[in-house]
Amino acid sequence: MKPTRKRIWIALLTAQSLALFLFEGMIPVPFLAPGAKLGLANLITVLALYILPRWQDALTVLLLRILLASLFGGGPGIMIYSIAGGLLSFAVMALLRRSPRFSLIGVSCAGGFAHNIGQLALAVLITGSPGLFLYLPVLGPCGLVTGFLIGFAASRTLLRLPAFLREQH
Amino acid sequence: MTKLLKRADLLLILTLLCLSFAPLLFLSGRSGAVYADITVDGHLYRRVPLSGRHGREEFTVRTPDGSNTICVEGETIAVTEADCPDEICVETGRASRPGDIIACLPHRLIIEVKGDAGNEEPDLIRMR
Repeated sequence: MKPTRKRIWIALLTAQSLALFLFEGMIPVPFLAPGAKLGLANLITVLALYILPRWQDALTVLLLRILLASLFGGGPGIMIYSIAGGLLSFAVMALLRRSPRFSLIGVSCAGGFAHNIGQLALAVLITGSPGLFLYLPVLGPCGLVTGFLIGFAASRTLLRLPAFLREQH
Repeated sequence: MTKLLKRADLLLILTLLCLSFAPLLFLSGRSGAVYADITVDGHLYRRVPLSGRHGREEFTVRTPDGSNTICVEGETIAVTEADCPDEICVETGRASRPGDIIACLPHRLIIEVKGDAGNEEPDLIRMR
């Protein structure tokens, strides 16, 4: 991928991710557990990991989206939770993606799970209440389910993308 | 894409699912006298005994980041009003059992229902 082309892809993916984030804020979701949400924006993070040539580029998309999303709503208090969840989720997904044993959906499930672990761990660190981990029996499976849905959507999207984006892997 | 999940995927998901329930082994199962600890930024603000409590009490906690109105009714505790952006603490509803937690992360306020040591179930009548 040429540098200019790559930058355009990073910009496009970031814009799409931000749009999905804002869209998700508009649809009412049932209250399952504190902090549980669909995480539509992560659809693009997963796709970026599979489209862009290097993981650093996908990380750029993620960090830009978190920064922009916190400007559009949420603010710095919410942003640190997004970063904690986002980075842990990204690290897990980037590692698992290297193994051919896992499919995109499996990678995404682990990512959703890791996202919630990251946010919970930060909440425990900030508040000093390890009891917050009692939310994990709810938030863990929630992350797996949303990760599965996101992974399913991402794998279907990937199939419909032009061949030159897929063939590098 | 004929198969949705590979074998490694299924193993991974099962492992993580089991991992989700690990905190239950370490952090629950205590009972006895039940009370709620209200902490702000890690510091104990107030301890409210819940066992055998009657009536209704409402008070407002002012934290550096905003305020939460807490309502203790009977043996339950809840946040009824808050000026945080997400109001997750209000939506969490009432807490009454040891292990229940109401968290308002934007205000760094946590209400933890705890139980004193004692191995009996709370609704078990001791006979001697």
